Amino acid sequence: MALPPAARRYLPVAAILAIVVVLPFVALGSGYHYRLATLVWTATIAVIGLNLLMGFAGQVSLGHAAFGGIAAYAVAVLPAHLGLHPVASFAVGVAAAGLLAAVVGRPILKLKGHHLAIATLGLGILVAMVIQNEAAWTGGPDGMQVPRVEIAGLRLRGAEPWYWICGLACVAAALLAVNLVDSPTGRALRAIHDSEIAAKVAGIDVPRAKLKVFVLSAVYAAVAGGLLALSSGFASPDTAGFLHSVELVTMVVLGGLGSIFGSLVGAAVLTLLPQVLTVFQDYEHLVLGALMIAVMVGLRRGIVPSLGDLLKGRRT
Amino acid sequence: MSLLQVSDVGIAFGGVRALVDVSFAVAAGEIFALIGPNGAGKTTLFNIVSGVYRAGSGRIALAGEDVTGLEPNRLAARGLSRTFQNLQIFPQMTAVENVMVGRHLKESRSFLRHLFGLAGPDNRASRAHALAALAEVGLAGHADAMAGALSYGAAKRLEIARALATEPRILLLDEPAAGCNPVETEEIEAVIREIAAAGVTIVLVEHDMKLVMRLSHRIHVLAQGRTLASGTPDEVRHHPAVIEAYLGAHGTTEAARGRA
Amino acid sequence: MQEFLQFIFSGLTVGAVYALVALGFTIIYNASEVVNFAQGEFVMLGGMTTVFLAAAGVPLPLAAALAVVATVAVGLALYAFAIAPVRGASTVTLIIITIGASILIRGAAQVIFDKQVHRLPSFSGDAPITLAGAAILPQSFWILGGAAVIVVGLKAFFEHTLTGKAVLAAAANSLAAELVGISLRKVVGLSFALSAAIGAVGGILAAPITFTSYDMGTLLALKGFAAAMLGGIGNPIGAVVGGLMVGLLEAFGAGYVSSSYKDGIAFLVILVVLFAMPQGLFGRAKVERV
Repeated sequence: MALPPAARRYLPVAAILAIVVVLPFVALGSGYHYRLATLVWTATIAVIGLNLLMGFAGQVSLGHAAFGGIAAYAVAVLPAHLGLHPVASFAVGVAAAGLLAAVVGRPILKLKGHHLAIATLGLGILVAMVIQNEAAWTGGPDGMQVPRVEIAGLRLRGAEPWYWICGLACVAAALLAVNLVDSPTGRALRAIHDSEIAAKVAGIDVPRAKLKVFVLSAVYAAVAGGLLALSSGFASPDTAGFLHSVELVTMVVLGGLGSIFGSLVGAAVLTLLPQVLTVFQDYEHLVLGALMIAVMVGLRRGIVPSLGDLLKGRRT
Repeated sequence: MSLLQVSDVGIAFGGVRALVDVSFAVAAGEIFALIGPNGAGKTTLFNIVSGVYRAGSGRIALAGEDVTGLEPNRLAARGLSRTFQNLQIFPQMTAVENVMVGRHLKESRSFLRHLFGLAGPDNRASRAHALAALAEVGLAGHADAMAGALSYGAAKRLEIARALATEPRILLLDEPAAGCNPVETEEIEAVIREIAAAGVTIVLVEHDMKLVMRLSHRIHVLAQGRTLASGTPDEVRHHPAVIEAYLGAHGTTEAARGRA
Repeated sequence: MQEFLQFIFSGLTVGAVYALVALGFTIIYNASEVVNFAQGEFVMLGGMTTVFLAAAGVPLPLAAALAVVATVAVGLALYAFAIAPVRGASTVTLIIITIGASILIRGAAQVIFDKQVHRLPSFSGDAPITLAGAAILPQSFWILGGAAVIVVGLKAFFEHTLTGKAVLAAAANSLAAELVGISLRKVVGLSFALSAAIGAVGGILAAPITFTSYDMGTLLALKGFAAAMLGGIGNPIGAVVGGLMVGLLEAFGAGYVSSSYKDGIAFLVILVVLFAMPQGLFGRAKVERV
């Protein structure tokens, strides 16, 4: 396509915006559909953040759901136990997740490869464990209700308002990510991915750069988790668990590492699939596992990059 | 005062003493060569000077300032840059983006500015500088090609362009002509001369004796981690220990051709 | 004092199972640099398959043997369909594949077996043996003894048989091994088969005490991995020592500190090891050469 690079950069954002705006008119017929789409938007936000960490900076995290869980439970726990307004609780939750990432990030990011993967996995599980065990605060394994949000007298109820809030948040998330990638910070991250040592020699403070993107991706995950809890009215320990972290990573690789639009594709496929398979509830794990293997063996670069290659006439 | 002063540097890897008491000084504006047989410790020495390894003993000073043990990015801020023997380009970025990474220290580092789309001026300025650096090494036509797709010789020059983009005072070149055919070697030599003419001090590790003898002002010879000899190309060429350990009869002839 | 001894015995017992999981990890890792997240599922398959075969009328010893064979088949299938096709893939890819495999196996177990918790009858009865005031179940001795036999057997295999040495050679330098005619496919395949067998045996031995269910694999794999890391990943002795230590730490942690966070101890171990001594107790620090 003969678009100037600056415009080409924003293509994924425009595509996502178009889908958000057009979808209600072509495909969404009921509250259930709106809720499903909202689920996809929030998942996409988390996946974009994780993609920045994995696809661009080349670091891996198997514990990212924990950051979402922190924000989700913040909007449940803080209003219930401390009387805080849900929106303020949301801000606190996101800040707390970011703070945790900043604190554990420094030591954790010194690790590489599967050491890093395992460390993030351990961290995620510990957070999930705290959420499950401290039932007095969090409602334990049964989860916790999240109050309906009321801003200036306007009650946000029903699936539609949240569809738009989450959809537009998703567009914003993509916009920020796209800005970052084509900037000095973005180039530094991509350099780190390709050769850490050369990045250092070029003047990049590698530990600091890794920490920045780790915290940013944690904030993305927290925003996603908080919005999910607010829109569904419920915080569940599953959203912070290991399986959800694995699902997020799968969404990243399924859509394509390093592809912003791929983040939406991966999130959509893995969010909608269980819904399609509710008839075969028991087969959900089997299919998820098989899908993960099939993608990594057969479609290693993910859907969007592979399609891109196909269109350009290259073999995957 | 020399630009780079290396004093009594030593390092051991699990019992193997790779470098022992190596010292030399590089004057500003010089082309200084490090030669020696394989395993002599040349790249290890480079890695220590460029902050990739921590020396076990000894000191490194840059323009009089003690920089021993500093991380590579802090050395870059003080004007030291290098290329790699085993090519460390960024294959998943375009050539011009590779070089733009070298502008990192001259760009804004405000994360938030970048997030909110205010990186335009930085992007434009860096791209202009990068294109100029690419032109200097003869790669202007490949600016938007993926670095991973470049030929070996082109990739070597790309690394030099990236190092140049940091506006170094001193540039360490680790085997710039390795694996290059005679044409490519000539191109590299021309590039090195131009860089030196622009006032950048150059330290190079090289095996191509003709190239070394033609280019260098002074040469330091390493063998088995120790200094064997040091001096002008003529002095080194005729040094008996150097001839025995490294040049051999053929090498001496090659070296002589370089000075012809 | 009696309580202390009790914790030691129960810690060693469960630690022996972790040691077997860690050993399985180590064998596969040494042969292929793959961290096999599905390791825990081999343990699960050993126990669950035996339970269901026995329930279908197969005599227990035969059921156990068939369960081991079935698990080995699963291990080989995992290698053939999920690992071998992606030789040389990145760490992230391999991690996702083995996690996917563990989810797949768990999902299949859920469907083929059921979601209940099961146990096998103890091999020598349930009457506890009293030792220095502490009560130990006879099955503990089966577990510890079985683990010891496996460890000794493996040592003999690796050090005294040609096949075993081929595996070690491939682990040390795969290219060189191939050049002298060792088939990497067979070596790595064998390592998966061995690990599956070890895991399955561990599962069968432990089922009478720790019970077995379709989803026990995940946590077990993570704890086994903690053990392998503690001992120094790639070191078989380290794996065993690490396993026993994690088991003991869990028992003491649950007994003296908090039982609801018992499962978190292994993760704390992982984090501490990774930050304080990444090479583990018996490993060697790696120097990255540029």
